[in-house]
Amino acid sequence: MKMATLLSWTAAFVSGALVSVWLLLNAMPNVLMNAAIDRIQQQGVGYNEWSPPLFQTASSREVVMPAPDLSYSACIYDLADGPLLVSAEAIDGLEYWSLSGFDHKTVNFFTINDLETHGETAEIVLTSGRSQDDICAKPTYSSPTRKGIMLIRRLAPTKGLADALRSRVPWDVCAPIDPNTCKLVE
Amino acid sequence: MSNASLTRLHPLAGILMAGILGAIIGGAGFLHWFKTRDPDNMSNWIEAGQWETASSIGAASADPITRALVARFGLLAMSSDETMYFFTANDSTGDRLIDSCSYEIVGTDPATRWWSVTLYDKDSFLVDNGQNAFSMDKTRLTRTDGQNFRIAISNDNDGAFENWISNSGAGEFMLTLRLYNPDEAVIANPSGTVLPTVSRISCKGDQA
Repeated sequence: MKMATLLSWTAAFVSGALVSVWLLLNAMPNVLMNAAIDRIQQQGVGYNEWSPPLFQTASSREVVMPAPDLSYSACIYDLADGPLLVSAEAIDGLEYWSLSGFDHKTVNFFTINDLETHGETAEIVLTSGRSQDDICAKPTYSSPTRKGIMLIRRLAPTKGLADALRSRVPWDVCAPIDPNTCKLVE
Repeated sequence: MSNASLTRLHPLAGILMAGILGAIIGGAGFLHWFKTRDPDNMSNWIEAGQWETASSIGAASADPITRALVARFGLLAMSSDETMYFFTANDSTGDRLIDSCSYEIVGTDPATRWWSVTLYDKDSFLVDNGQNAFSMDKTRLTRTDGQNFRIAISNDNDGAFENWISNSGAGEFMLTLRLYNPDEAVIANPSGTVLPTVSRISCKGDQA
């Protein structure tokens, strides 16, 4: 075998390996996000609605490294039909809660916590547009991707707090909003 | 295929086959590395005592390797201005954490609004230890003198430990320290942050 042939085959082998690794590396966040979305949907939760609070146990498999001291509510969003109104109710007695958005590449593109809302309910509009203007006079965040996951974390490290969260009537909102009338789309 | 027949291939066919072979082997190697990787001991992460973190967790600025590993080990992790995540899979001497040994976590409260330490198995899930003793957090902790705390990690408690995490059935395990709303100094200088230490107390089979 000629040296030139051997070199060209070696270069092709290395290039193939590098391209493969690069593609897999960049695909992993999307692949794992899809898997998480599938597992949340298996709980009976559709797009653009909050799941009931999920408490983490040894059998929980929705996401890796779940925090057992928190309750999680998830809204899988799809902005194909326009913006969403998203809110997280302030609940008395909790030492921490937050509302955060994750795009389909797993980037945490915004978070609001209870200190920032001064104990009031967090209410935002989520859009896929590039405009920086607020919609319906509410803080407006633009998701870098059309789909993703919104998450409410509420600190509930004791059984009493967890039971209180389980028994409350859900008030949190994750639903399409008409940006012209500022009313929820039925 | 013999050497003679290889040389009879069209030159581009040989290059193409070598490229495909490289892609298959490279991809398989990456997937094995990705699946068997521990979250600590990353060359580009920041060391803080025996813990490791990455300031770019959850951020758009994260490099592709960090982003992929965070998706693997901590999907939906928040960015460091809200929460910092520290990982360790080793005790203070560098030995792998394992359920046949008992440990203690000793320290003072990190500079943050709320914190917790949680034990996970090698697949990054909570362990079915029969006690639901997965973690300890700032609000439940009993402190020895108002500041210092000691958390025992062992198979059983028997009422001996006020602060306890079970490692029963965990196999090789890891710990995640979460700091929610960390102080500015922690965000700016994670490696300078004083964090609890994880020390081995004893292992099954040790001489009494």
